[in-house]
Amino acid sequence: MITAATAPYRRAAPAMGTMFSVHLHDADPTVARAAGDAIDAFFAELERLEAMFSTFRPDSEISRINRGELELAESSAEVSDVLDACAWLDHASGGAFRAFPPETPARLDPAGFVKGWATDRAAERLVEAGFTNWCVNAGGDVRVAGTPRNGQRWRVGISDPNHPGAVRATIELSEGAVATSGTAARGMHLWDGRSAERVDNFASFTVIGPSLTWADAFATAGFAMGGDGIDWVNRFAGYQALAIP
Amino acid sequence: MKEPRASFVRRAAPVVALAAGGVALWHSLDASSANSLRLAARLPAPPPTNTNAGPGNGASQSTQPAGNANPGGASGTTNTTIASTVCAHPVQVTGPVVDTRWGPVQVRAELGVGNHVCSADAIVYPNERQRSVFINQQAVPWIDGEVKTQGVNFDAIGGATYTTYGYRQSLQSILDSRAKK
Repeated sequence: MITAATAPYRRAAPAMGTMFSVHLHDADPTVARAAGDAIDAFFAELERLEAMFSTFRPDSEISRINRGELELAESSAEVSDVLDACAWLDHASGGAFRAFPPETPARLDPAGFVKGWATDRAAERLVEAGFTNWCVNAGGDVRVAGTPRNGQRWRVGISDPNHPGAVRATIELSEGAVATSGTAARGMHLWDGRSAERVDNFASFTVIGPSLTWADAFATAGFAMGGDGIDWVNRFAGYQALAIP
Repeated sequence: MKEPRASFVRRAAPVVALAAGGVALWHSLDASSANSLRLAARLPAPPPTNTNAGPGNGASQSTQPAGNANPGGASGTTNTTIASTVCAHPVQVTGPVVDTRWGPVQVRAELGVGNHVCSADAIVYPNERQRSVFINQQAVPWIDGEVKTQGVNFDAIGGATYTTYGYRQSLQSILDSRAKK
């Protein structure tokens, strides 16, 4: 039996080509409406950003930039921010992270950065609504805050890429993010910007750290780097890599 | 060339230039301008790099040639006298992945004359507590081997990039429905 004090309010919904779930653990049933509104705001923000960045939507800013219909100078502040961050990552990773797919090197695709960043942005809606204990799962990339119950830490299982249905690693944390890059679930969708080739260096590559924005970005870059990616990630204060071969 | 506040392509490069040579454009940023990229307030600032520990700390590039490694800079310090002679020209070797009760471990070592171990570092490991203050204070990672979800209470399952199609079979979907009564 679930008691009112710890009953989470949960919702799962598709967004950004994957499945998101939001768990609010301090949602009392008497304020379930507030929880519902906060989660509505979460998904509305995701949708707003997806409409801006999706390369699958012809009317997104990224698609319009790629068709030459939108000047970068005219793009929104969010697009400029993300492209700035992608440029920083490109340099910080020695070119391993690159927002131009090898097959279409003249076309921007910042998807390797956007999902984690957008999830952090959307999660601000939960904080603004007054929720302090929550967990967001963005298609396998997890961001948590507060506690799931009685001051305990959140327990995040890392699924075993070599054995579907099994958990390989367990990470406990009270605040922060766990992001994973891998090709097990989605095939060869990652590339190394240095060689301009698709890569499959690990079964999965997980980064733990304070923000999902950078954990996700470092997981993408670290996966592309291969063995050097672990040391590279660990250089950043607060971030740690865990690779499964 | 060095613009202290080079904001990438934000206010400068026309789309035509991007389409014609996007990759070259990104290469044109040098390290100093990348460091001073002005990221908007709402974008979390990139984290600083650690100033101590970490075998990769001494190298500013992502790739580390074997001959350029720095033995002793990692977790274990080697005898400097030995290192200066026996380890003058170490050979880098990578061991097999070994499954331990804590998870997979793979070690990369540098061997000097007579297979003396000049340096060794785990490149795949379940846990490396010393590397991150954050880990010590905020998170405790460990590896349980192939733990099935039965009997283990997880709050979230990460790692897989679930598609909407496959989501119903995923571990996270179990969590989403388990306590929802």
